Amino acid sequence: MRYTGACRNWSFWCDERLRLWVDPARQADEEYVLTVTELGNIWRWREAVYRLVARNLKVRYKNSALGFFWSFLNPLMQVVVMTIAFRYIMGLQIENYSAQLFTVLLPWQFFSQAVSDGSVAVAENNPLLRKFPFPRIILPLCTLFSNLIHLLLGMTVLVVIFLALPVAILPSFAWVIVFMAIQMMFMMGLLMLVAVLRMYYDDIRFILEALLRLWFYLTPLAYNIQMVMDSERLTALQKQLYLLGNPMTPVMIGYRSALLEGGVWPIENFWFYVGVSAAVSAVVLLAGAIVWRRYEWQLPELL
Amino acid sequence: MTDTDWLIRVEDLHKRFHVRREKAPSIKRMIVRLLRPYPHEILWALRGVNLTISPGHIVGLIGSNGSGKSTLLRVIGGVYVPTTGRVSVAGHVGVLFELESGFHGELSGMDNILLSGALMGYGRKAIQEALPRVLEISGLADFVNVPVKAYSSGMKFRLGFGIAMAFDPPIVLVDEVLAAADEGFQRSAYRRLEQCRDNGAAVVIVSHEMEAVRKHCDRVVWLADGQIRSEGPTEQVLDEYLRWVNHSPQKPGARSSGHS
Ligand SMILES: Nc1ncnc2c1ncn2[C@@H]1O[C@H](COP(=O)(O)OP(=O)(O)OP(=O)(O)O)[C@@H](O)[C@H]1O
Ligand SMILES: [Mg+2]
Repeated sequence: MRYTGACRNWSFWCDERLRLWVDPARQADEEYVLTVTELGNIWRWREAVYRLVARNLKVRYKNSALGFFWSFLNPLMQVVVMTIAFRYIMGLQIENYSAQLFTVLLPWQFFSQAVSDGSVAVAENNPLLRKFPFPRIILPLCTLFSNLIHLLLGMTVLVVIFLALPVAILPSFAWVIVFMAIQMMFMMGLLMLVAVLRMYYDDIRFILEALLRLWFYLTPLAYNIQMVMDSERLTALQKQLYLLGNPMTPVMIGYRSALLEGGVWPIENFWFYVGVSAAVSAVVLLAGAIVWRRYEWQLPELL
Repeated sequence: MTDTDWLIRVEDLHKRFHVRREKAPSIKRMIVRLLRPYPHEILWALRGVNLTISPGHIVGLIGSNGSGKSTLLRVIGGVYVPTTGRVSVAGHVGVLFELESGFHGELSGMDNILLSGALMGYGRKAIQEALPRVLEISGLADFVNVPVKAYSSGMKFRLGFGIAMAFDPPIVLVDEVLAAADEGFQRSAYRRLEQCRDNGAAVVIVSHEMEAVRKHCDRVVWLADGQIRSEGPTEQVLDEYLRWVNHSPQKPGARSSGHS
């Protein structure tokens, strides 16, 4: 007979007796080891991942058939409002402004929505955590996945819009996958961090919201990276900080160029900055994983 | 079902909680705390529990409020980790904890069944096979497509019970929820639990209804202050417990000990 149960860090399937144990002497070295078997674990729990993602999307689209399109209305409106505000009222000189906005707003929404979802995901799923001993990691993972599906649906709509507009479909679109991978690494790390932080500090939600708003303007979304690079008020050091300090900056530049400019990167040494962004993301992911593993099994008792 | 001599084994189990006396934590308090680590109390909810439960038993877990019954059940169920000690379970665990917990109100009963089954670790095929049994046990066939927020509490209990029992788990943990069901369903629920026992499962029931315990359990464990005060055949432990209840002043809660 096949048994399942929970081990200290992971629930798993096996054919022998299962043990739930904590031995203080062994805790230290067991705790921080990331192993490949865990990925296999997630694969075994794919049905749970699938059902959770389906639930997230159902709740998000409120079970309505046009749910996705309603949720698409939000970024659409944002594009319209920002186009009017920046282009026509403030007179920003950017070609194709709406299309430019659209290409980065969707990935940005993916980022900000997932991270703020992440701050409540664990708290909201507390009843599940208190009932079933599934691998805890699938909660942030499902937040990431359901937002990713949302993004992919949005991207599909975008491509359809491109077909209607005089914008070419280019092979450079493939670069999007690279930027998405970096972005998701970064997001997964942040998700694990905020999910744990949320258990200790309620305020994190509000702080996060304010930070994301600020972050929006610190990333070249509403404006172009050229405008920053050409600016005479910023020193070279400030420009470097701007590019290196925010992993989202090179990623967003990348999305825009890959989708609209055929992969002609608008800044020098673009791939260097992408590399730094990927490295920072990897560090955040690692930090997130360490914090997560320290706390994942304490989550239900903390709330 | 299994050829082992035990299904649940708890060895020298200790469980510690950090209790926050303060109101909701906030950044302000967090900063204050960085400067002056605030004294959260440490509460030992379980202090050295040893317990072995063999196949083919319905065990009643009794004790006053805050004595650690739910905590013990949750550690066995694998959702709380022991602070020290060791808990082993030999098989799938079917749980029935808080009444409303684990269901998403916006989703239909069907979606909740599918989600719960998946979170219990079953694959799609096993869940599809168990589906008719969930409906049969819960008697909710007419309501599967209704969102759970429209269920009565007894109906939620039925749904939870159906899900817990449909997969024939060798271990069943029930925490104080049977009271929500109507008399008829309660009877059939107990009948099912007894059937499970006869098939060699281990069932643990937390209950404050002594009559139900007397009628359905063949062993009783009395938990007091996070320790096992007494354990044995139903009549004997119940008598001891009721004698104690009659003779001692009542106040809830486990002892908390010191600061950290
Ligand atoms: N998540 C938690 N955080 C902090 N303390 C907790 C937590 N859960 C339980 N406790 C404490 O542990 C002790 C045991 O609680 P538990 O819920 O196990 O009691 P119980 O025996 O189930 O009581 P009841 O009969 O009222 O259900 C209580 O003193 C309670 O305050
Ligand atoms: Mg209880």
